[in-house]
Amino acid sequence: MSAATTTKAKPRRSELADELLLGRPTGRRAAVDTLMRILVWLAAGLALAPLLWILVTVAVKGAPLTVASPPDWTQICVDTTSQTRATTSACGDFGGEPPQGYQWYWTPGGRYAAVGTEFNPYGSRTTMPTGDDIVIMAAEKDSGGWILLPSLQWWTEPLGSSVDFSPRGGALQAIYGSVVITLMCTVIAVPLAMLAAVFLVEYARGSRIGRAVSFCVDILTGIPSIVAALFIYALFVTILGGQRSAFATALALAMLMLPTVLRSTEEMLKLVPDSLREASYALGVPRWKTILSVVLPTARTGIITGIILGIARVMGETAPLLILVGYATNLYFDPLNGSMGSLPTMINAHRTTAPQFAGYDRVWGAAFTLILIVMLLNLLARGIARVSTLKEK
Amino acid sequence: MAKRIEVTDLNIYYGNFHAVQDVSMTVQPRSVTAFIGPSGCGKSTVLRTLNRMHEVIPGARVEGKVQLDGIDLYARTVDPVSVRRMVGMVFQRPNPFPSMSIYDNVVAGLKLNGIRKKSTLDDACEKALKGANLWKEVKDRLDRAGTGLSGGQQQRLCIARAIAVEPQVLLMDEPCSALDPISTLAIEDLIHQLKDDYTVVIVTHNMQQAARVSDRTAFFNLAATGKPGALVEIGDTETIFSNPTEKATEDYITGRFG
Repeated sequence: MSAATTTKAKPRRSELADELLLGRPTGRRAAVDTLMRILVWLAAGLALAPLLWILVTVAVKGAPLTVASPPDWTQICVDTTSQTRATTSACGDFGGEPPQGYQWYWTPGGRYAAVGTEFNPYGSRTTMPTGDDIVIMAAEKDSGGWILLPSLQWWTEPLGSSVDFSPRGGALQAIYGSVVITLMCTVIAVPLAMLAAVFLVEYARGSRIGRAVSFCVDILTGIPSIVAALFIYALFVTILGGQRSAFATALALAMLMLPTVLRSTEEMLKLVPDSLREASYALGVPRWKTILSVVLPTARTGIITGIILGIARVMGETAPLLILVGYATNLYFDPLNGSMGSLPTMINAHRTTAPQFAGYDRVWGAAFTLILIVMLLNLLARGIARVSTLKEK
Repeated sequence: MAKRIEVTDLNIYYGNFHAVQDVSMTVQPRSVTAFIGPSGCGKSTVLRTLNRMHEVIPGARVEGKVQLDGIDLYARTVDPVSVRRMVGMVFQRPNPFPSMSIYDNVVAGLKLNGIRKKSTLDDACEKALKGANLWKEVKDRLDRAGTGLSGGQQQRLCIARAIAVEPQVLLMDEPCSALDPISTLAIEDLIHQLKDDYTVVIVTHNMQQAARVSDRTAFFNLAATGKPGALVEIGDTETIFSNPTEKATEDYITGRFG
């Protein structure tokens, strides 16, 4: 019908009529449309690619130690002239005297030196270990040196003294430390941030003091973590005489978390329409109760997301941990004194001390664990949001 | 449960801006009073001073007297929170609390004022929803979100929420302007019922609506752009619409301006 009128009005069918009839844009506009669509897809792809790459890399490299454990000491055959790993048969009988140019080495986990790859005798030894290792060693020989035993030790045991050359031992001390430090930091920062955000939005909106606080928060948002760490060191350790400890770290991290949570909470509170506040006032509800029972619950989902993002940010923060608490491979429970392990410092410690062997897997394992925890927190936040959202129909 | 409102020499300011000048009027109990007038003439502003919602806006202040059965609402000893418990309000756009269920919305005023007893709340909820002609439509889904209802239902939910706290007076600020004709009719029917128990003041842009629902009508106007709004005249709706005293009222009602 519309086509008929269009053709009647103009003898030649116009582009517009084409578009109406065909249901899609034609000519130049179509080309621009397509170009824009391609651009947007391209940009999304470019943004996603590195993120996915990181995730996959960390997962692939970090997964082995977190879900399984390679056996401890393994006897492998090494070609001593080229310093590469040789096949077991080149050394002859397992455990016997090898031919000229070959040497048996005991090394932690055969997977750290595949056949044909360069073998670094650093950390290996030529004498036989004792005990259970021999059993595991035999198992590994059968599978060519690449077995991984399913294991939960990563999550249930501290690293302890199994450092550098042995893939044994878990990351419990680091997971515990990270969780405890983040928890302390959250407990300090979140209530402060929420109260300050409520002040800024509900009490000081547009006022001079509100603008001043906002300005300071903006500056604080960009503060480098190492500066926060130095500040807390000067304040807590030097002036107040506190110990380098998990608590000091939590204080520094709280300084970093405060502005992010404050900012996001503030934005969420601003999104709550004034009509809801007025509706509440009109029911004779006092202001503080309006904030608690109407404003905050309405902004709840956004606030929780902001808190989770804040936690995710401080969880991977390293500088304050380096400055304010010593790294430990064993579990220590005192937050006010002494060292405490944490995932970022675990990555840092084993990156430098054991680039080969188990250290490599530990670094990626800790990275993977960090990402897993942040992901879990995200899922948790979504879960909370979903559970607490009312059904509409 | 209904009270008379007497307004004497009311002047309202937003900061330095003089919004409304010298309003004096009496709102009769158990009746519907409609405020009509062109946009920006201060009728909503006057309405909001009747339960001290006006002062929620920073910089807003009031001179003059608003008396509820002889008690000055602006006396120094009067708490605005308790004024608002006595004088309820329904807004232009339906604004149910999105974080609350239908049930919680209705009893919000009671719950937030400290009433916790389940049976009391249940009774109040049913009574208020019945009073707002919404009970039949929502009684099976009281636990669902109030924002899931249609616009007209949401507005009736807001009315239920306002009457659940059993106020003396109910103020309505253009309660139908965001609604379709069917929902508007439902609200107007409701207003007719409400005046048996409450003093109702309604601001409306719709003159037919004012003629349909109100017993008395107040016409507000601006003397000129930039000048404060003022009350031109108040009287029985029939008189205002058929035989107004002022020329401005007649012009407005007959559509010659505004």
